[in-house]
Amino acid sequence: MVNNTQKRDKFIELAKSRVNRAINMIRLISNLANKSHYDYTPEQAKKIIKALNEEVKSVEARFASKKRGTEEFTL
Amino acid sequence: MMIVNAYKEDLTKLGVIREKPIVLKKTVTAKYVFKGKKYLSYEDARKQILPLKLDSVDAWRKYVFNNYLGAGIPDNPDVVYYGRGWVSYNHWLGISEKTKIKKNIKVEKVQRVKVEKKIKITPQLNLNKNKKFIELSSKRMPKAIKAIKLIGNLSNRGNYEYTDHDAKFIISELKERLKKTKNNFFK
Repeated sequence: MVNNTQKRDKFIELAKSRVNRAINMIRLISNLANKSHYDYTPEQAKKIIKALNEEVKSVEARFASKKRGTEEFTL
Repeated sequence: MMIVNAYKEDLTKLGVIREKPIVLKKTVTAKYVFKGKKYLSYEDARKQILPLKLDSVDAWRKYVFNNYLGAGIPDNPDVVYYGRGWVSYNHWLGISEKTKIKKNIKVEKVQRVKVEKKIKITPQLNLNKNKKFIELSSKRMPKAIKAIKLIGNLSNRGNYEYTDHDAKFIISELKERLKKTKNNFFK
């Protein structure tokens, strides 16, 4: 049986590395907004922002659901 | 006709009849004769104009075109009163310096917005740079989405122990970064 404190430590360790990684990836994408190096239409920018937003929203929904499993499944 | 005269006051109150506009008597003191027409003095004529609160020369010209000014008031005061007390249209209409400045600022803003709109309407897409953008974004976006998805796996309470506060903190952090990227893209 895994101890609760162990679970907690695991969460903190993984959250640190994963959130930092995600933030880094988002930073790399925001680098693409630099118009002196890249050019883009408003539609393309909207697409990118929308995709990221949706992803974050789905993560939020997963954290908000109180089920044990990760996937929400209803019949 | 008699009835109308008898109830004139009531009818004007009800708005059925309009009172005739008060026309200045032609026998006014201090008259100028200009090209055969009689005019009030500059100050007296100006007193009639000031209550109209016209805020620009354009508004004045429109008003003159559409309305009757009354006897003794010229529609071209700059000519009539030249050398007889004429100062300027701003003085004539009672436009103070402050309102003038405000108006100028407004006009400048409007012009600026117009210019910006024009720029936005005709964006010139640098195809070379856009190609680079598409290449890199199609490489980086899947990675970013994967990274964000991985965070979602941490929501499994069977494997991890966390409080609602932790979850909220993570989400708010991500959202804040996203806002910044959005601002970068739509500057």
